[in-house]
Amino acid sequence: MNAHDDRTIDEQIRASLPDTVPPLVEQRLRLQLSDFRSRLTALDRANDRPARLWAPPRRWKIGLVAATAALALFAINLALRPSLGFAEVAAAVLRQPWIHVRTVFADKHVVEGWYSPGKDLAASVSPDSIQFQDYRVNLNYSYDPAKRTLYRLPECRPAERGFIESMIAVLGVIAQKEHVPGKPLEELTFLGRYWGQMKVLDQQLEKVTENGQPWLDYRLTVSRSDLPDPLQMLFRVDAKARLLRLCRVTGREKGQPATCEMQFDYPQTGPADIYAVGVPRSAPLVDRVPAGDLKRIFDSLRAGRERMDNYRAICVDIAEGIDNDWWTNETPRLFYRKGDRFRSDGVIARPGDAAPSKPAADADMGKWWHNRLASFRCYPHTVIRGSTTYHSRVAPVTDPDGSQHVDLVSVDPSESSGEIFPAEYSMMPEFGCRPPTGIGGQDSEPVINLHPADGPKGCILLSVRYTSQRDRINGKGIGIPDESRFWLDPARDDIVLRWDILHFDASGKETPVAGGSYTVEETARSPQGVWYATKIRRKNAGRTAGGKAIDDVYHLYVDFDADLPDKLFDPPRPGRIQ
Amino acid sequence: MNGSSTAYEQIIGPLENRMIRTVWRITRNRQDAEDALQNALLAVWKRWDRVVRHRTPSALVLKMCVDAAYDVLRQRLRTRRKVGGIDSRAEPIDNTPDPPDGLAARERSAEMLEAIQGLSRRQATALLLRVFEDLPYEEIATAMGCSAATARKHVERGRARLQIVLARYEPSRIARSSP
Repeated sequence: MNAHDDRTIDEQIRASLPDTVPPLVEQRLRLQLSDFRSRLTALDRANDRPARLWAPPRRWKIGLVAATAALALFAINLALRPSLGFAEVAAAVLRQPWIHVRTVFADKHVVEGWYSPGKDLAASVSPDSIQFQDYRVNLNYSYDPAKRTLYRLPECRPAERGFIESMIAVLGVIAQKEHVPGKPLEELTFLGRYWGQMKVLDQQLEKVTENGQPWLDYRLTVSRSDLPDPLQMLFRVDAKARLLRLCRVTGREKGQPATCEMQFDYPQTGPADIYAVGVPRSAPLVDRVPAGDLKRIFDSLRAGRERMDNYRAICVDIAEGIDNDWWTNETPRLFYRKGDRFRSDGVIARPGDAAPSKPAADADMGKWWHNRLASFRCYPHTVIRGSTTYHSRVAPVTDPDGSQHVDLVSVDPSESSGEIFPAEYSMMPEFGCRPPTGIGGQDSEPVINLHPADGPKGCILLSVRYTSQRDRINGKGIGIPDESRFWLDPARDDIVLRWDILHFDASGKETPVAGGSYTVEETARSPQGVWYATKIRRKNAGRTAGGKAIDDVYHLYVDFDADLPDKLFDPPRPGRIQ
Repeated sequence: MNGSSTAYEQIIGPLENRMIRTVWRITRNRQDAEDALQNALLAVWKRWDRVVRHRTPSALVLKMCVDAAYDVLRQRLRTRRKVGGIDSRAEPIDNTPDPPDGLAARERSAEMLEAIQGLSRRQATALLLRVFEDLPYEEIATAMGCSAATARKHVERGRARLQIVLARYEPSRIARSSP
């Protein structure tokens, strides 16, 4: 058979099986690919995830530190039906009806947690809170012992089960293989990499027998650049069942030896509901799961935040009410978004840069500010990757010749659960008109008024009263306000056109908070149709001139065509700001 | 390569269309195409490190798609034989302008798929990568873990088997050569 024949036959084979994919099929297959890509992205996030090994986390709920890393890894493994190697062993060790963890902290306070991988339930008991999370329906039951009140809340904390799963599974795999991992920090995903601050000094795996019971002890010594002394970790695994039984972390806190110990066991049964972990059945139940109009608003605001297109935005805060050479005095802020990654840049003026001329009245201000950025050095102030926020700190450094430059001196990673709001959200196009409302919060009481007497025309009013004494707003305006009022525009996907925060004095008299009134004065739609703010006025922002209040006005210039390479969202690294 | 998402953009991203077309060509119904792509992505996931380090990652990924689609195809045909002659999951709607032609085309597709299913796995993989993806023998060989000569041999044998089916439809063009 010659080449010509081959080509003819190949053509016929191709003609027999045309590759025109029906649009519906193509759409569904593309969704699969998109899903796969996002899982890989999640893996990246998992690898970047920092651990909080030592400081007990503020949001301790089911007995362990929150570390979404493992969850991401496991979600991938489980969703893709693994059958070999790591995933197989991991799945085997996770085939436990219940996992129970008892944690004793360095200060001796105890937290107990239960988790069922099969049932997808979790519970925890700590001195200040009792929680029961049903991941299947994404409901969280939370009991406040101080108020003796039980709350039904709309969202579980997804991060909190991952740590348990990962720790048990990874140690199960190590026990199965009976050798230490080649790259411990990469394989012990629950530790995270603490972003370059952690280094493995030593690791050992040894078989020990105590009272006739064989154990595999995996010992790990790590240093962390932010801690003066190394951390010693012991993971004790049942050599027969390959199940983790103990994790003990030893180090020093404030110069004193400190130990945190977690004991694992695997009972056949666990708590069926929150009452099974000590909540009195007589406790009143407050349902905070939004329904009806509240749910619509909750979903609509969140959808707008999540579905916003990728962009680069320049925000300029210009004070109105005083004579101000804003084109010289004001510095732009830079925001980037790509999917669930965000970055905000601080800017530093370049030395010796000439003051710009006032732009013409009809100038394209977005372009003008874009060009103006050339006069500044930009540095990543915060980078958000999924649930992890990297916050950088800068400081002036004196060179040997006496001159000064600015260094990015440190980067602090932190974890958040639930929806993420960037620190400067009020200056960002999608968040500025969709601030956090508190709907679904344990201590928030929302009320809707469909026909408010005041506020922007055509808007409905959402008032949210804060009912807890914790973290209340103080005289400086810091903290959670006593009440927030949001005027939402149903004609523009419920974006917030005005937002006031208030507090009440001892007599119950309403007092506006200085700088606590935002009005969205101009909006636009993204290429995908998401409404966003382009001009926001912050009234009476705490400054006066000649007795007259000064408003801060945020002007937002959004570029949806900007180049957004992935490296833009890499965690910042300390070093000289160029 | 740093970062799985970066690797995705560099390896899978440019292949997305070909992956979709590959699984569709072989499976030819939505459910099977979804299953095949899912299995292919699972295979890619499990061998991600290997994919990233592979000399010709695109060929390897396409091979995984072909393998996955071929497995689904075999499974479907096996089930059909057990259950009876009718493939309950075949495409139900005929959108062709001329239904008789469409019927003939579908019949021919079905026979071709049956013939492909009758090839050995390696023959089918090599042939499909060569014919549909137009991969050079060297890349097929690298993806399959064999020599280029072996890959060529697989393609030739597979082609000869399929020629018999084709000869039934276009004897004048095909029958000049005998397998």
